[in-house]
Amino acid sequence: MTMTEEPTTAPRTFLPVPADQRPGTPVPRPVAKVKRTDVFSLLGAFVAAVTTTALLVSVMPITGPIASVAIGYALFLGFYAVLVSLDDDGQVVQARVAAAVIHTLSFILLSVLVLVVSYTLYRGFPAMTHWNFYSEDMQKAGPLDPLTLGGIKHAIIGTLEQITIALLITVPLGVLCAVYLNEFPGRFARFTRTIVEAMTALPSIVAGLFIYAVWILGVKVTVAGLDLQLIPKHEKSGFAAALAISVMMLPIIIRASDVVLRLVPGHLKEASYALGTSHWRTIWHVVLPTTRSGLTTAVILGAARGIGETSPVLLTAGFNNAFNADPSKGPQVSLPLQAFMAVKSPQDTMITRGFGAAAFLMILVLVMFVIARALGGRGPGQLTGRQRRRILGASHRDVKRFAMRAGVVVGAIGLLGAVLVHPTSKAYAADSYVPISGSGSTWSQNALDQWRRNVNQYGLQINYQGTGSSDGRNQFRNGTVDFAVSEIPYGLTDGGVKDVPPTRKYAYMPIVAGGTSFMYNLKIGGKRVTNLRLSGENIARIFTGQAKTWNDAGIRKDNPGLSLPARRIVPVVRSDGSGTTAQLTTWLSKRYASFWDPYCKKAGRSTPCGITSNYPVVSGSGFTAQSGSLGVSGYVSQEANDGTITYVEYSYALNTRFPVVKMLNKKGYYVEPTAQNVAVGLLGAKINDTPSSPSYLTQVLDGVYDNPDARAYPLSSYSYMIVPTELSGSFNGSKGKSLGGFANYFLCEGQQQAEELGYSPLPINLVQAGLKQVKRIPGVTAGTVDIAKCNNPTFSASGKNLLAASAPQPPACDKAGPTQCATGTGGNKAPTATAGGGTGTTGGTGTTGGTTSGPAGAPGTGTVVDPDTGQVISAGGEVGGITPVVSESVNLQRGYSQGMSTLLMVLAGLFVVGAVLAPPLVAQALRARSQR
Amino acid sequence: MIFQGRFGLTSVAQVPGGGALSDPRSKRSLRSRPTGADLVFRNLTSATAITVLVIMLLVGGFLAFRASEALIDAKLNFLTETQWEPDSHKFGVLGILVGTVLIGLVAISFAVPLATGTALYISEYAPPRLKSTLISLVDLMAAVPSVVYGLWGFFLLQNKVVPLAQWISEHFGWLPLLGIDSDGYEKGSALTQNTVFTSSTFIAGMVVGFMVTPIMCAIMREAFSQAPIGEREGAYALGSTQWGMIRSVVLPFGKGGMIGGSMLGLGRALGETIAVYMILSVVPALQPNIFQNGGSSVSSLIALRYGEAQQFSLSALFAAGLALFLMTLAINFAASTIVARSRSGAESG
Repeated sequence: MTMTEEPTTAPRTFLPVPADQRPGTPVPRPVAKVKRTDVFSLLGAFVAAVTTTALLVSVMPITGPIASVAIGYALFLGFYAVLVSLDDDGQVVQARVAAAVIHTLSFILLSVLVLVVSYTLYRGFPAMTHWNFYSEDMQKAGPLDPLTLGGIKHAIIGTLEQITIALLITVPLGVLCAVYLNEFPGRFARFTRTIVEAMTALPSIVAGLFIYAVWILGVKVTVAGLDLQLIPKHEKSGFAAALAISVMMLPIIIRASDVVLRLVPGHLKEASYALGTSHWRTIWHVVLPTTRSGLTTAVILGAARGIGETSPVLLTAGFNNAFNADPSKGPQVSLPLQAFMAVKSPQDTMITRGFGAAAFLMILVLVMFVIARALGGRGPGQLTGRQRRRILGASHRDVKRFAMRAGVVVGAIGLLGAVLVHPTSKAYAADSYVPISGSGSTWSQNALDQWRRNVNQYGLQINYQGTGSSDGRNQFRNGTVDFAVSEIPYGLTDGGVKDVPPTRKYAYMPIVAGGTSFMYNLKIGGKRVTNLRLSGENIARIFTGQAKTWNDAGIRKDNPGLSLPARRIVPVVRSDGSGTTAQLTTWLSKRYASFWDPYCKKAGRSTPCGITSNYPVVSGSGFTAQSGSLGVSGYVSQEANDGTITYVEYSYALNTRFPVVKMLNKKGYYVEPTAQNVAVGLLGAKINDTPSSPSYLTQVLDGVYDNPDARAYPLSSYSYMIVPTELSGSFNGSKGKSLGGFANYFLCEGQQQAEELGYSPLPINLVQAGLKQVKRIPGVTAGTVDIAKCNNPTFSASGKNLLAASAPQPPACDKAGPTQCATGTGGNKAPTATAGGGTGTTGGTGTTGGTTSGPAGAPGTGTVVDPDTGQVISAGGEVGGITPVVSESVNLQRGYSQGMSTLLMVLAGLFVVGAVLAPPLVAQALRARSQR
Repeated sequence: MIFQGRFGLTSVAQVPGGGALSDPRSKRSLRSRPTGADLVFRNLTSATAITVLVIMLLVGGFLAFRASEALIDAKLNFLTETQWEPDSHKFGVLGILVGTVLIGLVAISFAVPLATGTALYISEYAPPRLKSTLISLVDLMAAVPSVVYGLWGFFLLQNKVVPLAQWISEHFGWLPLLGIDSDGYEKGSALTQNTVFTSSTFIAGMVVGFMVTPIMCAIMREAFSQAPIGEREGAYALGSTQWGMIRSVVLPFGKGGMIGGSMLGLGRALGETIAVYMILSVVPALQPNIFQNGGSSVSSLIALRYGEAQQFSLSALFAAGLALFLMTLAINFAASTIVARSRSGAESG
């Protein structure tokens, strides 16, 4: 603007002064002046408000800090208004009060920010101080392991790689598109801009759903009877996640760049054209340099948004615990997803890890943000002194040169090409086993996770995502996972829809037995109840909304020793499609259809309702729905959630140290789902023993519900793995080898640990049948498993189920009647004081079990104690325990891959920084070179 | 405003068509002939724009295509049915859309006052040297990942808010939306559990509200700071207090920015997934009581059900996603129209 024309011989350039730095520009003047009386009235009002509030709180029934703060604040405003009105008129009073409110509002917002940031750091801090948190993955660390084991390395690399790929896709597309929108305005540009603007409204979850349906499930079109696979199926991977993030980020980056480019003043471009510069040269030398900082800021802010998104990644990335540097293959978790998954766990260490991951992510985003501010915070055109001098110098040199620079274009294209050919190489150490991934049941997840960690020492990498049995079966049918775990087979009709079997060949393989237990959180007089007993009928009444309070007559009858409170029963059910729900509803529909069908009808299902994987919930019935076994057990285990009860596998109760219901069996005893009672119960199961049947080895549990043995737990069942028996899609022979190795391990050795973990080992006939199924997996290495060396506690020379045979009889106090054992159950063995129910006899009979509490049910520790008798059932050394022998060679390989992976991660980190910073820097360097 | 060009004033090297200048009477062609490099450049950028457009249209088209199966099956029931049982062919968005909108409304009822207050503070009250720091802080708040807000809401905020929720619903429960309609719930009963008030629409909406506040605040602040100096000074000259000036100059001037910013924030709040998914207990039904446990939102329903959905149920989820998308789309367009119209000056038009 201020361009003086000086007839000088040496050409000179004047940098115009930005508008807001020019002298004489009107700036809003500050009008706030603080007078002494203002301060006094503020202070006075504050003191008066505090004292009055304190008085009110002590007199009135006001609960909670928020209520008292709210009252105090209202009083403060009132007092302040009164004080100001002593000196000034109404206008001023209004102004003062408004100012106070505005100050408060902005203070609240800023304190929210401080709270969010500091709370996350505070909760994540214990994990973040350990170096292993950054240098290890979660392959070997279980939820109960201390923070000195395991970390988020796999999530860090996932985040870095995914955002890099997303940036490589979106930045060239986005910036070039924005250039087009600005440089070639017209109807098409307007249309494109409108569409892009529309797409910024696309919710991120829908972007994820799009990639999930297109990339992972594949697109198949039927044209004239011919099936055309337009896009083949892919497994969940880091690349898919990057695509989803790209779909979400692209419109954001285009719009931000568009706005930045629009800010380039027209006369700068006109000046360039006036000098005879061609169009693209004007863009390259005038438009892009002018907006360099603005564009960089736009890209970094877009990246910060993309990096923190969880929902698109949730649908597309899958979940893994092991380091996977290859985004094109296998699941690759990212930081937000890792945080999201970890905090679902009821274990404190896992929650801390989740917060640690979130805090690390936050720091990453904040660093990016600060870089963005430093680069672009001044806004386009506002320069530092150094930049000014440099540009002036460059401008002087500009005059002296005018040379063809075709090389620049070639160089730029070459660079782009080099960047696009991203090394998704297999730099990772090749293993003798390839990683495999599966998903499904959370019922048996605790066992699978333990086995997964154990086989890690053999170089086997198993990724397992507990997403619910329905999800597992669906993913397996779609071919996106290598195996699924489910409690129920394919082919059942749920809500009128048949769960169709997959087209690829598959087989069921039992993996472990266990009891669906009823974990609860109930206190009487502030003390936790640990010995609740319920009949099947009362359980059915609770989960169909018939029994509403804990002092329901039926429940009282079951528990003569407890004075149950009038507290509401809050049944916590699964909101996702779940095999546990299917097991429970099978039992409900077969045994208590008179409760189940009316309930189902109320929830809008057609009757007879039968088995369902999605628990129907009647809105407003006081039920709570949570997803996953971790979700429901985590909800129940929250201290404040008194009165809740849920259905989960026994192991979840052990892990959260919560008690479970003793359930009445046919014989009239209340039993707990211990390994032995489950083994006894399952003696009544009918197993499909026709090898040619598609549902070979699946279970019919009617005999279990009615098992006449006094020790039988009625809701015992097996969990199944669904394995492919033919090669298809991404499942190849080497994956078959891994799957076979894993299956051979858990069917044999792995069963030893079942009991410790809260499950029950498989009997010998199922182990044998399972091992036969393993052989049907293509690619599995031949080699027999010596069944005698499995040390399975159910095996005996006679072929009888030893575990079931040796199960102790329930104590007399567990018999239905006026007495009630005091001993604790599940993960909480503390006894509950009982009063004689009407007869005056005290419960708890003579057994010592109540006081000799076991190792509080923590799997992985020493001995297992029967809760009722106090007998030591198994010593850890003999049966349980993971053989901690790691062969030397494996060690070496691990060490190598660890160093390698750290290097990869550093590289990936540099790459992200590079991807963001390279374009402006390269452009600058190229220009500097061409100026010489 | 922005001047950083290197061609500011250089010696004139050559003028294309310079010859025409010699004869001022003859009409010269204003059309410049593009060079070869220009053509390459033009084609490259157009190709990119077309690619982007195709991707965007593919996303939208695919969404509509996959949704069509469910929409054709459900017909108009899709808009009136409150349940979500696609397997029984009994599903509709009424319940979940109401849930989504309720979360959005709770969110903006927190966010709008906070954003307005903060925007006014930054543009009018804050000391000049604090201003840029405050702007950065608010922008920073927008960059905090949503999973962090979710964690904070679930682990810290929830327990603190439950007594407040209880208090409000006990005293104002007679108002629509604020009551509790839970089986067996008795107002004021000492045995009322926390669980009645946890995982509610209110808490989810509150967290989402804090999340969208910075976005609103940024737009409002920009609108407020553009209030012309002359009118501000005029107000002062007439003896107005600062608040009087704000009321008579800044707020009317920034009204468009306020409305537009709030709507943009609302659009963002409606689409938020993960924070809602972490807090809310998802019950896909019509549940209008915001303080009560359980609610629904389209995005959390998708996150919950996508994995187990077979062909038809997935199509139903696409239909729900499409409905959500159309809603946010309408809100965003309305918002950007209002914001654009409210801006004075040509530079941002």
